[in-house]
Amino acid sequence: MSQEATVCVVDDDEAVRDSLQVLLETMGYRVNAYDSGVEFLENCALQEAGCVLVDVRMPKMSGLEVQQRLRTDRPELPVIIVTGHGDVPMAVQAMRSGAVDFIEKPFDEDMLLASVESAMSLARKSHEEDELKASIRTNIARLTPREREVFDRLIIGHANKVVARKLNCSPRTVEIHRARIMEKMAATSIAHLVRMALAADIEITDD
Amino acid sequence: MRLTWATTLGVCGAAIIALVIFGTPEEIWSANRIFPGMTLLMLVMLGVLFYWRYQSIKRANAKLSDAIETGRKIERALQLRNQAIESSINGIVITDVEDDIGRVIYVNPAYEELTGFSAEELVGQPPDILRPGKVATPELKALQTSLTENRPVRTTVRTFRKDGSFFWDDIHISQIRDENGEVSHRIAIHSDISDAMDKEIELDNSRRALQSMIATSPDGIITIDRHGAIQMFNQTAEALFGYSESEVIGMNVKMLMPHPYQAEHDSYISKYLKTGEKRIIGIGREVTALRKDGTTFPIELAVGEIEINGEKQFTGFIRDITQRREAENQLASSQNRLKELQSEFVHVSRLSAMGEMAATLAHELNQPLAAMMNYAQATRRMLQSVDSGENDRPIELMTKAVDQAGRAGEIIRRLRNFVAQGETDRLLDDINDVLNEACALALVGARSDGVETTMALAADLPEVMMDRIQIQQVVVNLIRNSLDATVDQERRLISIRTSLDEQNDLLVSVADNGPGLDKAVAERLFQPFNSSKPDGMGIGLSISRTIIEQHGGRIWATPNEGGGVVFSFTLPIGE
Repeated sequence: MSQEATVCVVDDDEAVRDSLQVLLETMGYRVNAYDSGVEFLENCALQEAGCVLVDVRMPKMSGLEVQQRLRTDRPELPVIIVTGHGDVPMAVQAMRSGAVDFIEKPFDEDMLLASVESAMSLARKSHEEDELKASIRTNIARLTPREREVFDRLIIGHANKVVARKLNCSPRTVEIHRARIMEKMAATSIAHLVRMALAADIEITDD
Repeated sequence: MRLTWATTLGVCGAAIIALVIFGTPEEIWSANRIFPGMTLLMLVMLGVLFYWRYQSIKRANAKLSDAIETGRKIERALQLRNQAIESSINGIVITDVEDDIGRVIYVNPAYEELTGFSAEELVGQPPDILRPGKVATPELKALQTSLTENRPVRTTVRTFRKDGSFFWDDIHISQIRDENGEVSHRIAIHSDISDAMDKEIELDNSRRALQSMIATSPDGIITIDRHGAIQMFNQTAEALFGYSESEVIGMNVKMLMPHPYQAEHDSYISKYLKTGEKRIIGIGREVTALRKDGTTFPIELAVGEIEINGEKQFTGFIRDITQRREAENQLASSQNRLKELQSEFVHVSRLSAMGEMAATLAHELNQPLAAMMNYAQATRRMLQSVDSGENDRPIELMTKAVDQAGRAGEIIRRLRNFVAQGETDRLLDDINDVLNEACALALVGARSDGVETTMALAADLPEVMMDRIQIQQVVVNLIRNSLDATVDQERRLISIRTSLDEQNDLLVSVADNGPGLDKAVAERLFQPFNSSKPDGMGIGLSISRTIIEQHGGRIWATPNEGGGVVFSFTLPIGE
């Protein structure tokens, strides 16, 4: 994913679409605009998207439907629903379905900024999390099978001695493995190791 | 002095003796002047005697003749009477008093003819009527009493003929007394009154039939005379008014009327009697009647007029129409309710239409407004990013532009608030109930002639928060569209269904067997200002969609298998 995530604007009204793009660009965002939900889903590189601003009232595919589709295809992508005045029930429904926010037209630029920014940071955060997760997993993958065995038992919280007994080797061997693991994982403590394991969503088993 | 022949002879004899004694007449004449005087006297006496005798003989003759004449007259009279008896059409039987009951001594030919018995068969026998062994009817008892008490009697019995048939016999028996005052004979006069009896029986039957009709008539029947006094008051009238017949007979019929009729009824009668103008006679009218307990009730009154023995009488037929009135009132109030619903509907439809128009307007206006504000804000930001004092004025103006755009937005917002239906009109309601009312409204009128409507409403559906009138507007809209769609179908079928869908939301569908939707129409179906016909009651699919979506539901159309369209909408059960 590139450094700058894009804001995806989906609205069937040309003027609204264009003006929104202009405004967001003055706020410093990269913007991709689409005139329908269908076009957006077909053409947008979802991996590059930071957040989606979608108008709820559109022909063919409504904003809610777009959001439903995104939930299955790319659930971490934050969706902001754009409503006209009085679409509150729909907005509430959108929120329940997982939209992160809704904003009313005509847009107040400060509210727009706040909303988009929080969505983007969410995205960023989740992106970062993804990246972190990926790198941790990569590191874990680099452990040798024996190291992996030791790692699995260390993060449960067993002491070296216990690990040694479980793996049928000497505590000294365990210590050596442990040092190598710390190095490979770039961890500073067992606690750190545990955090990393959790972040990476590793399956933790005990025997 | 009785001038008998003996006397006369005696005197003449004396005269002759005197002659003999005293000589011949010349001797008598010469003998004595006294003697001649005496002889003269004697002659004169003789003459007188003869004269008297002649007169008495004449008188006796006359008496005899009279007596003979009288005798003849009596005989003639008797003969006449005899003939009268013989030829009378009434049967006449004369009995003696032998053995108390008596024996028949004479029957006239009429009796023979009446009974079929001959005189020979009857004479010498006890009178048939009184023969022992007859059934003891009161009539027979009366006859027997007359016998024992020797009083005349008149009664009617069935007299049996020789052939076994009978006739109605009006019998009059009277006693005949001798010079001592003792009853010596009885005479019975028989009249065949069968015809009259039959007529009477027939009349009696008619009378009883009529009485039964009057008694069992479902209408009250009251007759009054020309003064208004009640003559007859049948059972139904008793039941209707709460009076017994005896309580009202003779009273003025106006007691059965409430004011003001009570005060005026007498004048109604007298006016009619005077003018002959019929106001109610033969016409009938709905009026109010007054019961004994003081309550009133509505009746239909028909009045007939009859004349009996020259006197006018009026007959009133009274029908209690309380139930009919109630039914009429219920019908009227249902019709009123329907009218009310209709106008409420039209009113709210118009409001909805207005609201929808305002909503559409607001939505449409919002787009350019939002774009405008975006552009203005963007421009201002661009100007602000350039750090130069030259842009102060443009920045200021842009700000003003943004403010004005915001103001426009506020106005639109307020307008929408003004016409939008608030959430406060929502209540928990039963969709089937709501639908039934809506269907009644939608199917009113000629548009729905010949349409077969099937309603399949699921039982036990939960109640849902909804604005009743709004949902009804949607339903009416859908049904009317279906009616329009099926106008050219031979068999017009509309089916309405309620159920729960898989998500446990209320599902309502309206299906028709019309031509269905073509693709072009289907795409623009729910868009505003799309419908072809504006209608006071209908509000269009666009509004329908707004309403349903505001309730949190969805509305859509699918083809009906077999032809036509199914419109469906959901209403979420709620939190």
